[in-house]
Amino acid sequence: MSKLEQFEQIGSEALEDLQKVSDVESLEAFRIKYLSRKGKVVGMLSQIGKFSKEDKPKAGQIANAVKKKVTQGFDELKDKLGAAPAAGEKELVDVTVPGVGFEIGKRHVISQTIDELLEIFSRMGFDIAYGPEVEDQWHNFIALNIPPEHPARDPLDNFYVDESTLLRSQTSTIQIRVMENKKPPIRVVAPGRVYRPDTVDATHMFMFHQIEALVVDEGITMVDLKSSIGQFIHAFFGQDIKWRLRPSFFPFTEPSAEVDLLWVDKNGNESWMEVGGCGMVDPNVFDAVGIDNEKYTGWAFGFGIERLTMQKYGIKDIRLLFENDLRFLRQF
Amino acid sequence: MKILLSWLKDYVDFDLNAEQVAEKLSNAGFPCEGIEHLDGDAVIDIEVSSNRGDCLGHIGVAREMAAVTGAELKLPDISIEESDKAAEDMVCAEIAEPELCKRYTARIIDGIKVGPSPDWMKNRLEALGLRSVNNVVDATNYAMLECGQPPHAFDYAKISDGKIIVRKAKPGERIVSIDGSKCELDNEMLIIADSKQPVAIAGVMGGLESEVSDETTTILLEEAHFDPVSIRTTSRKLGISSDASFRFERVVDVENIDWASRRCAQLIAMASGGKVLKGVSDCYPTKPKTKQVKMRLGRLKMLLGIDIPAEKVMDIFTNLKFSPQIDGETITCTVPSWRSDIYREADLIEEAARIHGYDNIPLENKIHIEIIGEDKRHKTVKAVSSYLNSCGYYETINVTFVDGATADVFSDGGSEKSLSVKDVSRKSANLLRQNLIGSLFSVLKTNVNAKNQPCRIFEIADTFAPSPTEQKTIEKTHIGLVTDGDFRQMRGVIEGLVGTINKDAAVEFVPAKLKWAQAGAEIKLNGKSIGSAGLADKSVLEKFDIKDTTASAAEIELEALCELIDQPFEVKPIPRFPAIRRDLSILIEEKTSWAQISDAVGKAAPAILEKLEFVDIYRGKGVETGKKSLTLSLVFRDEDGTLTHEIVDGFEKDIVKSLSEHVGAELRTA
Repeated sequence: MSKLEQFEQIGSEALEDLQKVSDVESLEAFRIKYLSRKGKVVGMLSQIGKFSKEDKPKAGQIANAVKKKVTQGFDELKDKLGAAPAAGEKELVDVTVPGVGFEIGKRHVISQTIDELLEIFSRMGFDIAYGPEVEDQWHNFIALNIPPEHPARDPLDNFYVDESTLLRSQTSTIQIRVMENKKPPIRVVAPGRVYRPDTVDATHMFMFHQIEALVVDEGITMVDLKSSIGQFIHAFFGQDIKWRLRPSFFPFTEPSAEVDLLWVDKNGNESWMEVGGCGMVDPNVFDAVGIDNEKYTGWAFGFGIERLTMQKYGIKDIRLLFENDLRFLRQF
Repeated sequence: MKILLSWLKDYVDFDLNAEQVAEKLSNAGFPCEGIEHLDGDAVIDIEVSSNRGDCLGHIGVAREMAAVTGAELKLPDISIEESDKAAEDMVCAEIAEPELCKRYTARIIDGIKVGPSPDWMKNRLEALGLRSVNNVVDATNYAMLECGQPPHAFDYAKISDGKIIVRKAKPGERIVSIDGSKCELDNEMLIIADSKQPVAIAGVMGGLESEVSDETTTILLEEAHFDPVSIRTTSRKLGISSDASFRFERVVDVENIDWASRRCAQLIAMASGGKVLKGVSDCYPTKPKTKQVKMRLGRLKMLLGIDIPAEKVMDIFTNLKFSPQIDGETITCTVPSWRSDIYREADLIEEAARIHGYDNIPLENKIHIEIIGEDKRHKTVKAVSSYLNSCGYYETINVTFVDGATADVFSDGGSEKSLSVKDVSRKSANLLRQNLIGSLFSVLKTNVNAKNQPCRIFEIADTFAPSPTEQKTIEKTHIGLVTDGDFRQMRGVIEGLVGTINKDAAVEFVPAKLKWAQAGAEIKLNGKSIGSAGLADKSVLEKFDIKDTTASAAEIELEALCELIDQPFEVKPIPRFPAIRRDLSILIEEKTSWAQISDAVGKAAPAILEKLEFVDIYRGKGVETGKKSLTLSLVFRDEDGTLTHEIVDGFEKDIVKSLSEHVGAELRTA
């Protein structure tokens, strides 16, 4: 028998054997015998190189044809044998059984709120700024026009690390750092953690988050302040929200204002809710950072993230935000 | 500050209901915290900011109403029919601490009969939530709520030698205050003393001994000015605060003290049938200069962005009693004594804006276009969070403080080398954390206890360490990860994390000893250390009471990833030729690490070895003790053509040989 004939012989042998296959086990034995890497059919391919030059194309042709035929037969049988448990029946799917879940994590609701706020300010053209949480008195108080006798500096109301440094009590510290390092025009938004000793209860925590926006340029007025805050509020709370600016007092702004939103609860009751403080940058603050307060004016706006978040989602206890129980975190 | 509507109307005429008054005051900077409607009257609770001590009385609020509505302010008539006896013959006040007490007045009212107050007085006080005590105490409270200046009535008979000295307490001095507190005084505290001993804690509370009682017939009436910081400090130290200290801390009107004293004396006389003695002992060492402040109309416009006409501004200042004088574009105001908060141009601008109304500032839609760059840190934090979320990790936010036990286990320096806060409210957990995973392990515990498993959590936050060389804090943002899963999963997540930021970056896990881990590694990114990871030691889990779970954790510096995020990476085409995969099972010593195996493979690897993959480790039947069977997978691919098995066979042999030479691996036959 010539080598070419042997090739054809292997083909018919294989097809014959395939007829005898009746179950999954004998099918696997067949696969190993003929179709594995060292099996008879696949093995033919590696022998082609041994043929004479003239026979090579022919050998290749036969080998490939045989392999194709055998593989096809094998695949058909495999489908038949390996199909649904009982041949000929369709798989029974109960579509009313709950789906198989795939759990992804979530960002903390505070981070989600901060991101949403940063996004809005970014759309308004604000850069993001950061500052250290352990601060010196200059950035936390002095440059912000908070004199030594001011109650805000009382050791009992701050977390002092040593005589000159403390955990910042407000993100306004970042205002100072930005103005010290950058000349106007300035447009930044700064989020971060702040700290004030407070007895923990449903609405108080000794650590919370604030975000602060600052604009300094020539010709910045209270009209800009009010317009920008208005745009921000509508972007965050929706076009229908009612809000107002109300005179207030902060050492680092003059004039100062509180921003109130008209909150409507589930029962339709309306009440004004304080969301944050703002105002025109105090001339003393400009003096502290070496910005000419006759030439430049600016506004600042800061507010607490927890309060906003709790109001938005109806969260009654601030402690839930820091417990990090997955049953809470999953809901956002 | 609670305001009784009818009382307010004593001083200013208006035809507004409680809600309208609240609205007006709110727009002027005194937000309403609630309105309580009474029969034909109302109590309006307004918030007074700390710089407006002048509005802690009905007259002050009436003055604001007058300024806002333009109505006239009507002050009560304080004429008193004084007796012939002179107060100064009976009392002599003296200030030993002029820095802390700018003015002290003492009046005498004799012939009083202590008893219940007249109804009109009692009703007003009770409407505002004050308990009626007797006609003298009630009259002082009434005067305080009217003028915002707290008087104090002493029983004259209890004041030795009719002598009043305002001085600091001497070491060892003590006093029992009216509320019964036994106060140990120190030499920083300002007190009122008679010739023998302290009779009151200045501005905070009177002494029990000199309190007005049913037997009192003669009153020594104090009306004074005390330093706000001194009062606050004393009040805090003693843990006593009062309506009086609240007002002194917010600055009372030094010029108005005598007026307020007369008014109070008049009220006491009216309520208790006494007679006010002629004159007053008035100690007023330095009368402050009248302040004049200038404001330019141009500056007003520059700051507010609106034009308020000069006449309108003049009206506002006139109504605020600022006696404005205009000269060209400059207005000069004489600041009234009750407005200690006004001393600069900006303050006047604020007053003008406030009374004009913030509602009258228009909204503008200026189009301003500027493209700003994306913040790298923000971008990195978002990428990291979203990747970790997709791996099933939840972000948590934990407080910055940890206790000593946590610092000892999780931070390099331990509790000794941690920064701490000095606050009394934080007795145990008062250390600033150097690592996030300590806090995350406690979150793991919460969730394991609640059966919230699997529990995969992370946090991105600042950590704090003292600088070893200078007096400075090293503050770094970390990413901390904790999971109840095994170490390989955690490692896979970190490899994927770095890959998300930059797919070409090389991450290595170099075995390292970590305090908290039974198996730990230093994480290197492109050869540079960026953090550590490990499988938590059982004893550590036990120590923190985390039950029935394994736990892995990692801590990485965010900065390392920020640096990487905008780095370019190489995009490769999809391979056109098939790969050949060879699985090898090898027997090796238990101590041999994958890193060593990988090295050995690397030594013999041809350029066409695309990947070396770990498959599994087997120990048990058929493998002698002290050894392990490891299955690895070699993937070969030639970018330029189809590989043949013969070629791969050769390379496979070389690799097996290298494994045998370098790690003593024996090929295991199936």
